[in-house]
Amino acid sequence: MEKNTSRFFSNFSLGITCLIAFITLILLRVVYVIYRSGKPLNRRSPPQAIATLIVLGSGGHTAEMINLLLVLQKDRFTPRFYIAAATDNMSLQKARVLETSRADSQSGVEGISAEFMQIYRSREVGQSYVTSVWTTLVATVHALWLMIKIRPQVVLCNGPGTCFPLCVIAFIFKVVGIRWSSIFYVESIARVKRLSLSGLLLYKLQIADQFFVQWPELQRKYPRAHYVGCLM
Amino acid sequence: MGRGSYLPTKSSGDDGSLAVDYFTFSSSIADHLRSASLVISHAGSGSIFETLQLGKPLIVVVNEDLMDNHQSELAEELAERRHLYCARPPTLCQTIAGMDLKSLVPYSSGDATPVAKLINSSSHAMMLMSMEGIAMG
Repeated sequence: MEKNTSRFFSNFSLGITCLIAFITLILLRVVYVIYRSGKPLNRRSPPQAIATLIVLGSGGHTAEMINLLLVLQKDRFTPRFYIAAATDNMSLQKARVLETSRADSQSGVEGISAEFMQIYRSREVGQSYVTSVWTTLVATVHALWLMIKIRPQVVLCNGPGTCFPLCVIAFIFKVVGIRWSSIFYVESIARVKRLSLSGLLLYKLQIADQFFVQWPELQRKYPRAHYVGCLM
Repeated sequence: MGRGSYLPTKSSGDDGSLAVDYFTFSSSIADHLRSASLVISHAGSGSIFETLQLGKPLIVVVNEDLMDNHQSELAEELAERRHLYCARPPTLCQTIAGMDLKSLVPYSSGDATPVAKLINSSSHAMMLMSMEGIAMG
């Protein structure tokens, strides 16, 4: 009896020790990822193509993203993966128009440099916060599926709820070592005095590598943000 | 129209009444904006800046159902800077009645190029880091 008890306790304490060690390793890795994220280095090598995920939200979010994409170096940030919510009919269409018009202006384009995907929505306009928790979980599973397929090196987003699960997964990929990426969050121009919920979460959890705001009051409230003025 | 249930009645305005036309989507909305002397719009950032960049007088009506009522911050800020008039559905009539379009201040467009440059240089650094990671690992 005594032997069994002492064996149980030694196995138990061994299990606990392993668990604590494992959790400590994960936490250290997370701290390292946050520390290493967003740090500039010396430029030495020539630029390479970077797989880019662009998250589109409805309405103004898409207009703002397209405004940014027009001045983003498109032969560097390629292939481009556009994700929009399944119930958003317009955003992918607008993205396709952008891609087609930019492909036309370039001669000798080989292959397809853009893909368009839909994702289950975290939250519909007017949906209650309570049911949003469940739909966000569903969206997260779908996001995981898409992210495993894409494994982007850069994530660009500007505020819709759709982006939160995708950014969290990108961050987890960094921690676990599946894919190191840079997450760029540009808070919408509509956010003058307060951050959006997506922005607040990504800022507080330090998931975004670079966090841009377009109005000065936000930079005062959230000092780790970069104030870049109005983009539109 | 849109997600609502109200459907306006088209009218040619020949009998002296207000001419009314409607569409749910137009790929040439920019042309409509250009030919307008006044625009009344919801307070979405895309609509606002597309109109302001064309230099058109604008009244925005805030959609208060959106999360956090987020349309109102931008509308009120731009109204304070006198780039547009801001109204809510109950106050639209009196806003139109009392507006002075000549007092509106023209809006000068922003520039997304500095952000694009920052994203470019940060991505470059990230690429180097991940390459170093592969070299070390």
